Amino acid sequence: MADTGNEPQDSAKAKADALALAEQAEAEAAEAEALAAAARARALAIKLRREAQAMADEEAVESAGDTSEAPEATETVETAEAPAPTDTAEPEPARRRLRAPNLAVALTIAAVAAICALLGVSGWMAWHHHDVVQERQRAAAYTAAARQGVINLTSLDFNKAKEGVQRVLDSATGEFRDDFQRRAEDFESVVKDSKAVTEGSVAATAVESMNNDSAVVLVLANERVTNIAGAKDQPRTFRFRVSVVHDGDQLKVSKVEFVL
Amino acid sequence: MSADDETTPDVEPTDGVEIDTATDDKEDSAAAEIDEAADSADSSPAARRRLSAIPLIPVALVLGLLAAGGLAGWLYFTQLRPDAQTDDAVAQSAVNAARDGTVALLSYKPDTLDRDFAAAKSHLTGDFRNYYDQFTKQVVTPAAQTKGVTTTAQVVGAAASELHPNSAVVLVFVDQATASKERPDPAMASSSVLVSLTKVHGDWLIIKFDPI
Repeated sequence: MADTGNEPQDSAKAKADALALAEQAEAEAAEAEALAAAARARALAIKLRREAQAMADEEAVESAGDTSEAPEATETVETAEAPAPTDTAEPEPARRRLRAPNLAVALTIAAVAAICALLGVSGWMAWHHHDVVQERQRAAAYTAAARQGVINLTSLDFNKAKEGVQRVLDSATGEFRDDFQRRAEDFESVVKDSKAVTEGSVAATAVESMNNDSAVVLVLANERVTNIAGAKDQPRTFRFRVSVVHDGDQLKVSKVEFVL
Repeated sequence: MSADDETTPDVEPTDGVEIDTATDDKEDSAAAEIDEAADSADSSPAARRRLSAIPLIPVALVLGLLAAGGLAGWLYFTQLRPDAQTDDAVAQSAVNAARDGTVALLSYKPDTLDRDFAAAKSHLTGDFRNYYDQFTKQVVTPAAQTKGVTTTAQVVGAAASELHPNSAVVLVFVDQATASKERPDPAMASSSVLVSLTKVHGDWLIIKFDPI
């Protein structure tokens, strides 16, 4: 009984052992299968990486970063860590940064210098243009003064001879004013006696020469004369060379020359 | 033992499953990296590095250079160059051309008519050149030859009335002395001319001649 009792026990134990062994074998087989699957997966991962590397037509620096990642990935598959390119990527930019600062500083200095130079040249050009514009305005002002002086001189009415003469004197200065002042009375009486009415207009002007406080202007004037001698709107042409100078804050005629 | 043995087989396959999922993740991330590398999308580390490698200072410098260069170019083409093309020296060259041209146009002798008119024509351009050519051949030459006309022009005053980079108007005061077989004593005549000039290959040539 004991034997029979033991036998079934033994057989049961052996059975259990056999079962356990079988289970273990199965488990080992499963494990082997799993490992094989894992190996296949790893191989696929590596293959994909190589393809990616081949496909990515990137710069040498970046592809170098990828290749350094690829062999590392076989280990990271099992540890399931995120790929850490920091260790391999660190020396690359460090080397770049060593050269880059010198180049960057040089380029920055060059750019700032170029900007300063361009702004300086621009400033000079603007200042120069301002000068030119001022000179043009001065020329226009001298021309206007010369024109007005000639119109005053060529527009006289015997009815208002005194006012006419005064207008000429008001727009004159220096040598011309003194000259005209001396002859003013004679001039006035001639205009009155001949009952002259003259109407002057300016046909053309041109600045012959100019400096900071004076100019010489050529003026072509037309005059229509009506007088007691029979002239009726008779045209006359005068060619003047007029000198204009600053007199206080005004421009006045200092010399009138007939160009004969 | 048996309990341990029984549990370990259970654990091992799950480990295998875990490895599988891990490799799947890797595959996915690898595939994702392929896409990213192909697209070179902004989210890839390389692109992010490139973005951060374009800091504000160089961009500002380049923009500053462009702006300063643009300003300088604009000032040069709209102000400095036109100003230089209308300065006193240019005005003087236009006035001299008008003087020389006027004297050449209005001075001739019966003996040297062809040479005189040819010399005058070298100062002219455009329609006025054709007109002068025709006028001297058809009108002046016969009259000057039959009457023996000699005329000499003298410029007594000339100045630029208008001046542009490629055109100018010069006011010229002219005195002209004309003598002929019938009147050997020269007759004096004074006139004024607005001479319009145009720049042709750097030279001022007369394109209009308007006595006023």
